[in-house]
This record gives sequence, C-alpha cells and structure tokens, in this order.
Amino acid sequence: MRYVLCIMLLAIGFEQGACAAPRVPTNPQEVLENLPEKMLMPTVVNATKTDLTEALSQAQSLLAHAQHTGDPRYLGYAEAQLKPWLKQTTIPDDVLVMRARLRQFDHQFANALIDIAQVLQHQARHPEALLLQASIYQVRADYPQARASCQRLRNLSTLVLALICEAQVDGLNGQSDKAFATMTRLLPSVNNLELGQQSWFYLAFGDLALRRGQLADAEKYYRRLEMNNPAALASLSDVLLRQKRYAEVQKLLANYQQHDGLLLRLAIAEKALNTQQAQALAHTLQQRFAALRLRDNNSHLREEAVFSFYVQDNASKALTVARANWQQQREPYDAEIYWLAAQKIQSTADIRLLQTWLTQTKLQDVYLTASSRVALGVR
Amino acid sequence: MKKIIFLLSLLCCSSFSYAHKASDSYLTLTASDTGVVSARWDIALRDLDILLGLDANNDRQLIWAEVLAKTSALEQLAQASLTLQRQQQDCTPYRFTAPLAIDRHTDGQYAVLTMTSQCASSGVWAVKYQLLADIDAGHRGIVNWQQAQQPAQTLVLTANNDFISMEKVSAQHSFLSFWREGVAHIWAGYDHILFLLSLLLPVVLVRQQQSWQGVDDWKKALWDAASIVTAFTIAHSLTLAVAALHWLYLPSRWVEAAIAASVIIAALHNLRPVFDRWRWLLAFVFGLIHGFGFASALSDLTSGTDAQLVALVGFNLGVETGQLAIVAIFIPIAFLSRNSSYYQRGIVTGGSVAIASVAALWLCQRLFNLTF
Repeated sequence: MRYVLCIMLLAIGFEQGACAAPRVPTNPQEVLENLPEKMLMPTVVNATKTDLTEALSQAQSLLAHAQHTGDPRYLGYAEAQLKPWLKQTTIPDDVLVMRARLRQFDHQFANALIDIAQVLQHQARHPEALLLQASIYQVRADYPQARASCQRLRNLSTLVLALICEAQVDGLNGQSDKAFATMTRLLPSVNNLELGQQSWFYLAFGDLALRRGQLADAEKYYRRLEMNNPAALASLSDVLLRQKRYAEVQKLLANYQQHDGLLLRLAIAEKALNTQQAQALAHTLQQRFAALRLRDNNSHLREEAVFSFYVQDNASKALTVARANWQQQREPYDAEIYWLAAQKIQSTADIRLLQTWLTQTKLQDVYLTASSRVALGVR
Repeated sequence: MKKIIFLLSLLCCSSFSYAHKASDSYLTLTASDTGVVSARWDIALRDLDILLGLDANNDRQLIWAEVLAKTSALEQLAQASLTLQRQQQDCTPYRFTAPLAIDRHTDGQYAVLTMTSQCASSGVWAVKYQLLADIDAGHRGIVNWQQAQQPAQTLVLTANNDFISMEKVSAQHSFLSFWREGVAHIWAGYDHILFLLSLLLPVVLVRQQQSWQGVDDWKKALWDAASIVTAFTIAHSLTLAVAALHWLYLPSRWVEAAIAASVIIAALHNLRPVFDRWRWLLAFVFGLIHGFGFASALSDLTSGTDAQLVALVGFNLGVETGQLAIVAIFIPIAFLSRNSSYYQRGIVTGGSVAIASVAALWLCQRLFNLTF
C-alpha cells in the first residue's frame, strides 16, 4: 500500500522524500555503501590550496575523473580547488579556462563564454580557450562564430586542430561534403596526434558520418575509440539504436547503469526487447530526473525529452521538455527530438519555428532534412 | 607554447549529460507557531565519508557499525553546518530527538538526522548553510520549508558564509504572473472571445415565430449568461488540467482547427437556433476543445521545471477573470439595446455572419496550414 501511495505521489509531482522511510539497521555488520576509490579524496580535504599549479593539476585530474566516470561530484570538488583564486579581483587566465571547462561540462554555456572572453582579451590565440569557445558556439548552433574561433587556431602548431574544428562546423553548416573530404584526408595522419586528440577526431568523424546517414562509417570510427568512456559508449549506442540493434546495446551498456545518459540508452533498448527489467530502468531514470529538477539543474533536459518520447511514449511531455532544452542547446540531437515530438503532436507553431531555423542555419542532417522536406511540402 | 590539455569530451561533451548525481542533502524544516523548528536532515554517506572519514578500516566498504561509531562527530557537523536564525537571533543548538537512521535516495544511502531547535517566536527567518563548503562547489542543500499556516516552499541552498532569508517571495510571484498570462491569453486569442460572444449574443432575446424579441426580465438573461459561462468554464478547466498534466494530448493542429469550427457552429447557430435554451450544452461540449487550446498556450509558458499546479491554477483563474470581464462589459450593453432592430438584425444576425466568416477563414488556415 505504501508503495502504491509513493508511486501516486511521484506521479503528481511530489519527488524525493515523499516516500522516505528511514530505518535503523539492526545488524552492525550490514554493508550500507560501496564507496568510490579514495584516490582523490585526501587531497580534497587537506589541500591548503596556496599553490596554483598544484590546485590546477588537482582540478584537472578531478575533471578528467568526472568525465571518465560521469560522476558530477568530481566537478564540484574540482571547482572547490579553484575557490581561493576565484575570489581574487583579477582571476588568473588558467583558472578561468578551467572554470570555463567545468561550466561547459555542466551546460552553463553563457557563463563559460564569459570566462573565455576574458581569457581571450589577454591572450587572443589561447588555443584551449578558442577550442572551447568553438565547441560552445557549435552547441548553440552559432556556426559563423564557431568557424571564426576555429580559424583563429590556424597557427602552424595547431593547424590540424583548426582543420578538424572547421570540418566539424562545415559538416553541420551546409558543407558536409567538403568536411567529409577534409576528415578523410586527415585520417592517415591522425596517429601523430595525442591520444585525447585522436579520440576527438574519431568522435567528430563518426558524428559527421552519422549525420550524413553513413551508419556503417559512423560505427567504424566510433569503434576506434576506447570503449570505457561514457561519451564513446553513448555515441556507439546511438548508431546501434538507429539500426534497431537492441541486443547489442543491451550487452554494451549492461554495466554502466550509474550513468544517466547510458542508462537512458539501455532503457530504450530494454523496452524494445520487452525485457523484465525495462520497467524498473524507466522508474530509476524518472527518479533521477526528478532529483536533478529538484536542485534546479537543467543539464538533463535533452535526455529527459528523449526519455519521455521513447520510453514513456509521452510526446506531449517530450515536446514541453524539448522546447525548454532548445533554449539552451541546439545540436542536431536537440533539433531531432524537438522535431519528432512536434511532429507527433502536430504542433504547428513548433514545426514552423524549426523549419525556419533549419533554413537559416543550413543544418545538414539526414534525419532532419528528410522528414522536414516532407513537412515543407505541405506549405 | 603551453601544451593543450585535451580531453575526449572537450568538443563533444554536451551530447551527453551526467551520470550518477551531483551531491545534494535533503532538509525538511517545519516551524511551529511558537518558534520550535523540527528538522530532518538526510546527508549522503559518501559525502560524510569525505568530511568525517567514516570508513575506519579503509576497505571502501561502509558498514553500519562504522557509521554508528561516528554519531557524535556527525551531530557536531550538523551543529556547525546549519545555522537557523529568527529576528537575527540564532536558534538554540539542536537537540537530536531520534536515533541516527539510514534512508535510500536515488544515488545511494543517506544518514538521517532528526532534530529540533527553539527559535524566537516571531520575526523573519534566515538560514546559513555550510555543508561541504570549500570541498564540493556543486553541493546543494535542498530544503523543504514548512512554516506554520503557510504553504511549503522549496529552497536550494549553496554553501555560504552569509545568512539567506527564508521568507516567501517566489511562488506568489509566479502565481500572479501566470494569472496575468491567463487574462492576456483570453483577450489576445480572438477565437475564444468570438466563441463566447456568439453564444452570448442571443441571451437578451427570445425566439418567437422565426424572429427575435427582447426578454422582459433581466434576471432571465443573466441566468442564461451565467449558465453558458459556467458550462464553458467547467469544460475547459477539465481538459486544460488533463492536458497540462500530460494525461492526454491531442495534436495542436486539429485542436486549433476544431476551435475554429466551434466558432463557426456557435455563430451560425444564431441564424437558425436549434438548441435555443440549451446553448449552455454547446458551451460545454466545445469548451472541452477550447481547454486543449489553453493547454498548449500554457505549455508555451512553462518549461517543465515550473511548479505545475501553481501555473495551472493561476493561468486558469486568469482565463476566468478575462472571461468574466467580457461578460460584464457585454451583457449590460446588450440588455439595454435588446429591443432595437439594430441589435436584433445588425448585431445578432450581421455579427454572427461576420464571426462565422472570420472563423471559416481560420479553419482553412489551420486545416491546410496556409498563411494569408
């Protein structure tokens, strides 16, 4: 009975805590929690934080850990490392770049851009700041600005990065063939790049192929990534999901349920396979989105829209969430889920808005342009 | 040149958001009339391990005995990290009123502290929250704050050395703004006004031998108008709620088209009345469709993160207010001019034809997605 009441409370918008039932364990030996590896913990607490280089390298490895595990607590630890310098009247450039990266990871794009602008005032060709800036402009679908940031990287030492960066923008912005040719030409020389840069290249190439509808190519490039990173796993899962290869997705992601983005893809696969735990996965995701909303965090809106659309079959809610998501990020995936929900609901206003946007940005994406052309024919 | 630090997700991360969950603590605060605050505070064991080193034997497996052994340290932490004030006076130190307990949240097990404190009996409430300050900048304290005789509110606190006021501002503000949006929507959305007017035009008349006569009794006219407006209100409130809560949806293109059709029918009905004294029934049936229209206007305003119920009630009351204003302006004028042929022919017949024509244009537009 209590369980039923909980579900009802959850359904009408009471979140977390509505169902709380604290207990006092009776067995002192009961295992309550498996704590994460201690690797970074002692420094988190004891750091005196007077040495900037030390603090930055701490923040750097904490951010890397956050990206690797997908655990956002490490973002908070990383930002706390920077706190003494963030209080200063002139914040050092390296600290600003680091904060911009943390903010980008947390989808605070406007704030990240402010940090970057300050850095570029002092060092107009700061490569990392420029790359970061280009990526944020891409996320916001501001392609001319993104291209400008990439072009400023055309130094001898960062020429390859500039080319990849420009190809990424071109691929979305009406010059997909040119971008594909550039990436193909760069392919043989990729081995000379650092490991992280190689991953970036393959991910970008895979995305480009995907948006051109070349799924086999996309899969090929994604598979060159190390499959222990959430971003790589998510990209590969998306290619597989598009081909309805649900069992492979299930196998790929079975051990990554901690990660909301991966759990979402797993839930879609399990639902399609009609497995026993599909319901439970959906319920867990719903709770996690509720917990994020409670802390005023909007970084999950795309995932929540996808969840509402594919897992809950609730196109109306998907549209509401996708519309809110659209205000903060406009990557092809964001446009795609917004489009799908608007189509399903037949929401004329949203469809028009997207059609105008597609015409203006010249976004090239087979999944969007094919369906929008059909709808355009109506007009 | 400095080496570029390169991470996989540097340029691609947003395709993707988090795992796990950022750190939150959950705090339920209930204040009585006399200034006694009862609190329940849930703090993640994972966070407590960083602060207090719960894992005594360092095997990264936390057992209940290890947590229990740190009870007094945990209570000191609570005293130091959460300070309540009323009228700028600190409340008394917490008294812990229940044994330390454990509860499960989405990202793991939490310690549950139950405590009370005595505060000043009147004045403005404030809170200072310092848990995990300097350690986790992403940590938030999520407070469910329940004052005596007031609706509960949610506060999201960041660790800070200053006191934050706990007085209510936000909910009322958003309620008012949604109310205003509701009023604006009915006045700006001509289709709703025209539908209502079409039904109201003949309430000051009676049909006799194929022609209109003015009513003798103003009470009858008012009763008629009231029943139409009430039926319309009940119907659209019903479907507005159903759609706004995402229990049912209809394609907005068809809803908009059906609304246009309802205006045509309501207007043409004045030329050849069939349901003369039953117009409230028309108001009810078509009101159901108009409710879906209101819902799509409302969902343009809310982003899925807003307090849905506040938005829904505020918006709906706004719609009702706007609607009553129309009735209040229209009925007296109609009643005074009811016996003139200007009203009977010009306004009722001519007006209905005009309304039906405009609505027919809308219908084509909405059905075939045309823009004129």
